[in-house]
Amino acid sequence: MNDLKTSVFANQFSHIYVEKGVMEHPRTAQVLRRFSNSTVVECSSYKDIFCRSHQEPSTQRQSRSLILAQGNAAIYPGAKVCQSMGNEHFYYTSCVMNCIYDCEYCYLQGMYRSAHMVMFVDLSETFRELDKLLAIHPVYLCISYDTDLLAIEPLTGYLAEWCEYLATRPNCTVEVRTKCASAKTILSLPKLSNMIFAFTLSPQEVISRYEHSTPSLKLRLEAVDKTVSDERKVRLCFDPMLALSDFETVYRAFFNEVFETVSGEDLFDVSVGVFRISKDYLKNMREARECSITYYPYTLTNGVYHYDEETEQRLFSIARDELSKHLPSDKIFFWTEC
Amino acid sequence: MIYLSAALYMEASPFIKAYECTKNAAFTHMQVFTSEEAVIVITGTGPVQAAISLTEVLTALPPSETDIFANVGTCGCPDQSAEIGETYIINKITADAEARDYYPDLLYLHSFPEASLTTVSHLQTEPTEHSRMLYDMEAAGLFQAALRFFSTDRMFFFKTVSDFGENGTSVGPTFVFELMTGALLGITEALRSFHGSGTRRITYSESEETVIQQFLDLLYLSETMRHEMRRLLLYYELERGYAIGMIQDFIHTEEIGEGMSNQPNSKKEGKIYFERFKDQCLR
Repeated sequence: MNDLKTSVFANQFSHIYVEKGVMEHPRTAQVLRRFSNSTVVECSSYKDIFCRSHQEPSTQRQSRSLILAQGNAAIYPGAKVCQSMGNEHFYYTSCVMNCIYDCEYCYLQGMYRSAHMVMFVDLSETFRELDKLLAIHPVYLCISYDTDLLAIEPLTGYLAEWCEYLATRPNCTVEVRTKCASAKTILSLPKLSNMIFAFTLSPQEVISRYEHSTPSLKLRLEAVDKTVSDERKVRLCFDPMLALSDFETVYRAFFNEVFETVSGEDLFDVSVGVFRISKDYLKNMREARECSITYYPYTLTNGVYHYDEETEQRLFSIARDELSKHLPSDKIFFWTEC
Repeated sequence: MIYLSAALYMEASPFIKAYECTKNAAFTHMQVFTSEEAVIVITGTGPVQAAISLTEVLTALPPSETDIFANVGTCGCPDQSAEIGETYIINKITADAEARDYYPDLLYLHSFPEASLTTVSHLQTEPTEHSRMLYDMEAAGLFQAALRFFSTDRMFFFKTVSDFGENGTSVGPTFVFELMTGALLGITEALRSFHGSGTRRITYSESEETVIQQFLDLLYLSETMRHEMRRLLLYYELERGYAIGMIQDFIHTEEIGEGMSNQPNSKKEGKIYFERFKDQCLR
C-alpha cells in the first residue's frame, strides 16, 4: 500500500537566497529559471543565513534552501584526515558548500552549522588563484569534497567549466568525488586525462541505512562500468568502511559484488579508509544529529576519533585481502595516518 | 507548547480566546496568558520593549526543544496594491536601527504569501521606495530574543496589513481586533501543523532516567565517564534497541549491587565494569 502520509515540509530549494552582488550574474539567472516556483530572498551575505546561530540542520535537511553567493577563491591544503593518493601538492577547493545527499557519517555535519547549500556562482577567481599555484608546481586538487558536484551538475554546470579550464592545464589533476550514478552526465563532459572520477562505494546495507537519498550500489556500479568503458580515469573509494555488526561478511560480499561488475585492470586506483573524524567535528555532529555512527565509543588519537586498532586492522585486512585479488599493491591506497 | 507574542492586547485577544488561555498572575508588570497549549505574551510596542518582555517570559517558562514561537500582529505596507487584512509570513526581518537582517527558516508548507519586514523604532508614516515591504515595530527585537530559546526553524512571524503608512491614518483597537480575528484561523491552523514536525531526540521517561542514574551511581563513575556512559547508552539505543533493558540484563548477569556478590567500591573498580559493559554493547 502506498504511504498516504503527506510531508509537512516545503520542497527542497523552496527558498533561494541571493546575495545582492550576484543578483544579475548569468548563473543566478540560470538557477532561478530552473526553480521558477521558489521564493527568492535577497541577502547581503550568505553568512547571514548559512552561519546563523541556533540552526537545526536535521530539520533543514527536509527542506534545504539554496544560497547563491559571490565567488570563493580559497584553495586549501589537503586536510590530514584526507588521502593525498601519493600526490605531493595536494589541495582542495569548494565552489559549493554542503551536499544534496544525506549521509549520516558525513563530516560536513560537523563542519557546517547549517544544512542549507551555498553555491558560489563565479569560479573565475578560483581559477586565477589556481593559476598562481600552477606557476610554482603541479597541483592535485579535489573539487568535490564539501559537496557532490556530479550530482548537482545539471543545476550548476561547474564540471563543464572545470573541464574547460583543465583542458589547457595538464599539470593540474582534479579529483571529482561522487556517489552519483549519472554516467550520462559524465559522458557529456569532455574526456580529459587530468580529471579523475572517484566513486565512493559502500555495501548496500550501509547505503540503505546511512547514505540517505543516494543511488543504490547497483546503480553506482553501472555508472562506474560506463565511465571506465568510455576510457576515463576512475578511482574507487571504499571510504569510510564502517564497523557494522557482521562487517566481515558484509564487506567480503560487497567487494565480490564490486569486482563482478568492474575489472581492477580498468581502474586508475582505489582508496581505502575506515571511519575517522576530527574531535571538534564529532562534537558538532553529535549535537546536530542522533546517529549510531557518531555515538560509537571511538578512540581519540591526536585530535582524531577512530575505531580501536584491532577493529581498524580487521577492516583494513578485509580490504587488503579482497582488493589484492584484483589490483597491484601500488594502485591501492590506505588511509593510515592518525 | 506554542509561545505567541503580540505587541497589543487587541492583537492577541482572538488567540487568547482560541487557545483558552487565562491570565497568569505570576507576571505583574506585563500581561501573560497561559493554557495547556499556549503561552501568550503582550510585549508592548518597540523592539527593545518586545525583546525584554519576551526574554522575561521565556526565562520564567522555558520552552522545550519541540516548542515553537510565533509573533502575530498588524503591520504597515506602503504598497497600496496590498490588501488590508491580508496576512503574510515573514522570510526576512531587517532591523532598521542596526542595518542588520535576520532570517527565520521557512521549512514548512504553508498557504500564506511571503514578504520581507522592516522593524522600525517609531511609527512609519511616509511610503518608501520598497514595494511589498512590510513595517512593524517589534519583529527584529523578538527574533533576537527568541533565538536564545528557539532554533531558526521554530520561529514564525505573521503580519496582517492594517494600513498603508499614510499620514493621518488611524488604526483603532476595534479595527485591529477585527483584522486579527480574520487572521486567526489561518495562523492557528498553520501553527498546529508546524508544531511537533521538527526533529525529535531520544528522551528517557522518569523511571528510565532513575534506572540510568542508579546504574551510574552503582559503577562509581567519574563525571567524565558518566558522560561517556550516556553516549554509549545512546549508541546502543540507536544501533541495537532498548538501552534500559541492556542495563538491567548487565546488572543481573554481573550480579552488581548492594547485597549482591559484586559491588564496585572505587572509580578504578567501576571502570572495569564500564569496559565490560562497553564490550557487551559493541558485541
